[in-house]
Amino acid sequence: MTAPDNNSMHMLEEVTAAGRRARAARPSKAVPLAGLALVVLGAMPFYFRWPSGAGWSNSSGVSRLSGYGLVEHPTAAALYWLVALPLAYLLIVAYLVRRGSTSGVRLRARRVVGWGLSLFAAIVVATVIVPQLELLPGDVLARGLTPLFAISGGIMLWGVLDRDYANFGIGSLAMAASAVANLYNLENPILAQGVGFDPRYSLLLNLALPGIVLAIGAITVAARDRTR
Amino acid sequence: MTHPTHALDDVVHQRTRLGILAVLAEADSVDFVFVRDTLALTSGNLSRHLTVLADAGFVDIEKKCPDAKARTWISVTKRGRAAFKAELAALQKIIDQATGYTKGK
Repeated sequence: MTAPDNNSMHMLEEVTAAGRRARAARPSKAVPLAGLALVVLGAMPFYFRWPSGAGWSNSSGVSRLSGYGLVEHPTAAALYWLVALPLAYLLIVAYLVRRGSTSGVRLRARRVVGWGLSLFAAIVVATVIVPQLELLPGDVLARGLTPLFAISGGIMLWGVLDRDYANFGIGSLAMAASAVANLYNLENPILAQGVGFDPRYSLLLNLALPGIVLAIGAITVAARDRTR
Repeated sequence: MTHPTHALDDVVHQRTRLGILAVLAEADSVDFVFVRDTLALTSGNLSRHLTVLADAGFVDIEKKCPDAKARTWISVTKRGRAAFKAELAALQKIIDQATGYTKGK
């Protein structure tokens, strides 16, 4: 190999090594992903359905965010999202800023937080503030899990803006799981097997799916970061 | 026919500056001290190279003073990121071509 070729190879090796050191020092995206997984799974206690034979409550005001009266405590479920999601994003900002400041390698926090909160605000506007405009189809709103779209959409956009294909992939999978959770009763395959299933817990399965996707995504990213 | 070395940018194709861009490409912004320590440079040496990169529009330099402790944050611009990618592609082409010549022998 001639001199320019040797130099080129050494330069590429040094570039790779320098990039690897920077990647190892930057804040891990596993922490925000884990935090958002916890927010999704933390909603479970608020999504017990009415017992069979019990009357549904009418959805009105803020409780429209938790669907068409399927859950026992719609207002509490709605308030959970209105408090937990912004709080989670605040903690994510604090983590990214603090970790970046300590290590000297920063990721811009407003990307994940800005997009996630904007999408959530749009869903709240469409569902609670101007429901008469029917901006979202009723099938999507019925189960009251539309905040999942905001979470997964925010992660997808974060991946696009950061050119992070893993993050985009996790966000995409979470988006698919969110669509299933909002449009389909996940207990149906269980019931089809003839297994008895208390319908009070059906929405917990719908929450578990995107929550588990995000949790596995967080573990995957953590494993990826350790090997870098 | 042009050789891949013609695609190399003189501003980017310098060992230290290439290393700087490699570090900056992995984050939104990086602390001056982190870049200095990662590349084992002196502050003066790093400042000189950053000036060259900033004059070419490849990096932005921002000085902040949180809690009375001044910190300098450096970020790569879109132009700088594109120049860095082009440089990596040119280097890889040179190596691939050399490997091809070697295998052909």
